[in-house]
Amino acid sequence: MKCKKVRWLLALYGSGELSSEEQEMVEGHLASCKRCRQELARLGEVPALIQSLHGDTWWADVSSPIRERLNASGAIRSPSQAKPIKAEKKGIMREIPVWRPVRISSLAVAIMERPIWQPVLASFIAVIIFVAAVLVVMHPWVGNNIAQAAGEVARNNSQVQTILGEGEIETEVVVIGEIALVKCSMRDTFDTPLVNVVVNTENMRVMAIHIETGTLHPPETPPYRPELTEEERAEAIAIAEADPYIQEILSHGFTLGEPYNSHAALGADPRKVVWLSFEGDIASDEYRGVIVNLDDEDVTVMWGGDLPSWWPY
Amino acid sequence: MAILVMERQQTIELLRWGDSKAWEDVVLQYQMPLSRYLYNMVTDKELARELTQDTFLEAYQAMPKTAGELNLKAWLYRIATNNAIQVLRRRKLISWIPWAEEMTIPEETYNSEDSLAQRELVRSVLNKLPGKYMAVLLLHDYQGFNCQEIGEMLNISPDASKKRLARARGMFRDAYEMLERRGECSEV
Repeated sequence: MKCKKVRWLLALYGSGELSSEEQEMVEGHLASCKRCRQELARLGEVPALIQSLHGDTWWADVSSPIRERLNASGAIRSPSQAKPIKAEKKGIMREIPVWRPVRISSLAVAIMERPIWQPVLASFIAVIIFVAAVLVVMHPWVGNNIAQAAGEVARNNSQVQTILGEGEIETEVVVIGEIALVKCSMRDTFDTPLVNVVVNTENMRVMAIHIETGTLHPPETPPYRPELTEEERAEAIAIAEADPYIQEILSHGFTLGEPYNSHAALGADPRKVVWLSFEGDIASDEYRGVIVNLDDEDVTVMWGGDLPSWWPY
Repeated sequence: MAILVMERQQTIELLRWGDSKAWEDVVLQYQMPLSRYLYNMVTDKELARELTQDTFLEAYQAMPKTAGELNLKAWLYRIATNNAIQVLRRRKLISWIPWAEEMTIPEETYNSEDSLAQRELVRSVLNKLPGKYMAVLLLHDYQGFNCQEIGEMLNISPDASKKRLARARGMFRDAYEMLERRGECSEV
């Protein structure tokens, strides 16, 4: 029998999760395969490692805050406040406290039946509609303000100005939740690099600066690091491809683009940070890729736009 | 503790009704295992405390909308897992490693025999896994649920939860060995 067939069962061996058939199949194979016996020894340690977490006895007592929250919202009456009734359901032979929700529909009907309330109700509804309309109209402005502010933060960043040189900086902003991606370039020129700035929209601070080095004619003395070495490229690809999270994404028809280096030479941070875009989704021109930190071999996924249904949580 | 002698379904009816005593019993019964589970998922005690509260409050609000028989424990764990995965997904998307908070492991963690260091290492490795694998590993190997129960909690088939557990253990082992190796290198 081929190892491939029993490989996934090995991870469950000894956990009481295999059927007797599967158990026999694994045992039969193990008797004749040294490699799988070694694999079993590796995997068999996992439950014990996870169980070592039991050594930590911390836990959170949330009973009082929950009681307070529920009482504050008036949602629950304590037993002393509630009016006891005899429970009618079979099996509940004790008096239970009762909280009955008020039926909004019957309340509304009762109010509407009184003529005096009708004009009051009408003006109240009118005010609600007006406020809602104002909010709907204002909404894009609120969003635009965040985008505008993020664009301004990126334009005024001294490092961005150093990279792009003097002149008017043009920005294109995409806001994704708490972060804004700002693409900065020089207006009317094609010989300066494109700089991507990530701004935290909650505190409007620059989180990262990424330079696209593949742009035409970089300045003579670049303020950024020149091309990556072959080893660094290979290392970045290897780190990205080894990450299970990335593997899941790649299994959905994406490939990793050419690695580019980024803000390593700005002087602010000596670490090497490499950008690899996800390629293959022709329908999308969103900012999607992986940032690999060569120093600590960590990866971060950037995914602009909506998350697909297959997203690996 | 009259509730304890009542049948499970009757407790559920009381909870749907919003009975404060019944809810208090639920919180007292589940806050310890749920908060520990969440702490291992998100590795942050304050966040775990918040998520535990949110789990109960969400359950309280959603309870009247449920109907028929309900496995309360599985349902609470499902809410907790979804909340934790949301947080992890958000963290994964917005944490920009170079400047933002880094997930580093203290040097001494690697080779120390100390069980605290060992736990920290296990948590760091767990945190490297995608949320759904982390959840299934913790639910099975830490909380002691079987794949049938986990399937119910995560709304997947028992077979799918078996495969997920197998994959999670493999991923965990690979990542653990990688970190261990790195620890050995740093010692050299």
